[in-house]
Amino acid sequence: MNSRKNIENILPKRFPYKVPDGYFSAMEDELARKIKAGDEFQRNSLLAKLKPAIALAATFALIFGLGFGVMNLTKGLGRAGYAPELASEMDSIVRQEVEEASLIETLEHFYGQRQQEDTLAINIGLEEELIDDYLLSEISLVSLLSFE
Amino acid sequence: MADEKQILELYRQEGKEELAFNLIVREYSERLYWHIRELVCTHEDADDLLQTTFIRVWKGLPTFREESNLYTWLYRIATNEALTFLKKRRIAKFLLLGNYTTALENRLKADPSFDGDRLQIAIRREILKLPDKQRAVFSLRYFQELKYEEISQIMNTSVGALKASYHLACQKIRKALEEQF
Repeated sequence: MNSRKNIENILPKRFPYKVPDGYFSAMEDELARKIKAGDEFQRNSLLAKLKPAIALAATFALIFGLGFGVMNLTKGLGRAGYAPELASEMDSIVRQEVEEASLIETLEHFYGQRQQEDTLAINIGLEEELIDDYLLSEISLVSLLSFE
Repeated sequence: MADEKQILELYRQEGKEELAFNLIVREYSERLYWHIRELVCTHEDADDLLQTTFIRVWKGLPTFREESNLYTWLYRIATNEALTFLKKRRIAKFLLLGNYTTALENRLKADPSFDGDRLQIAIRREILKLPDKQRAVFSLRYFQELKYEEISQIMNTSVGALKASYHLACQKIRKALEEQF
């Protein structure tokens, strides 16, 4: 408040600028003219006329773009999407491996693995007593008879 | 003097929009002009900005929801227009390795429509040296005599910050003048 009082002593509130004569009275007409001209311009402008067509084209472009994008993203799904260079490189590695390993070693390795798998299969098999217990406790007599 | 409620009621009547708008222009153009002129100095710039302000008002009136007074809304548009204009000019001047405040001071000195003595020129020069937002606060409070609460709505700033800004502006101007005179 104090600072305001001090300023008021030296700074008059009268604006020290001048405006052209009749400036404010002409403002209404000037604005009306400008607003009408702006509206007219908006109505007549090429952009305004083409607006619906541009909007339609943009919509199609957007749909096409989205579709294209989705197709590109899902192209590799469901099949091996190796690049040709990668595939040929893999071929050469496999060929080299095959050449290096002898056929006997390969067969021994193969049958050894097979035997191990068979052993595992036997080990994880269910015992007959367990199957009998299960059938007696869980399945009704009618159901058992119906198997025959 | 038309009441702003009456003007808005008139605007809502079909076919009376232009009449209501003309009343707004008649009622507020002078106050808004002086506020803008305080910020941008020259008549040409103030004239352009005032017209842009009213065109924005015309376009914005259909969506004006009366959450604030009509005149604070008008001042907000005018202030934003002027501050955006100043920001653009400052950037343009900066890119040309110049200073927009100095340019404004020079324009003030050369302005044939400036009607003030040596002290008036000195005061205006000190006001021009204030940051744009502070100058807007100073103009709204000192020249337009708006309440801090109204300025708060216009500038979207708290009343406390506005009071501090105004007080600081007054101090800067007073100090600069004491050094010169």
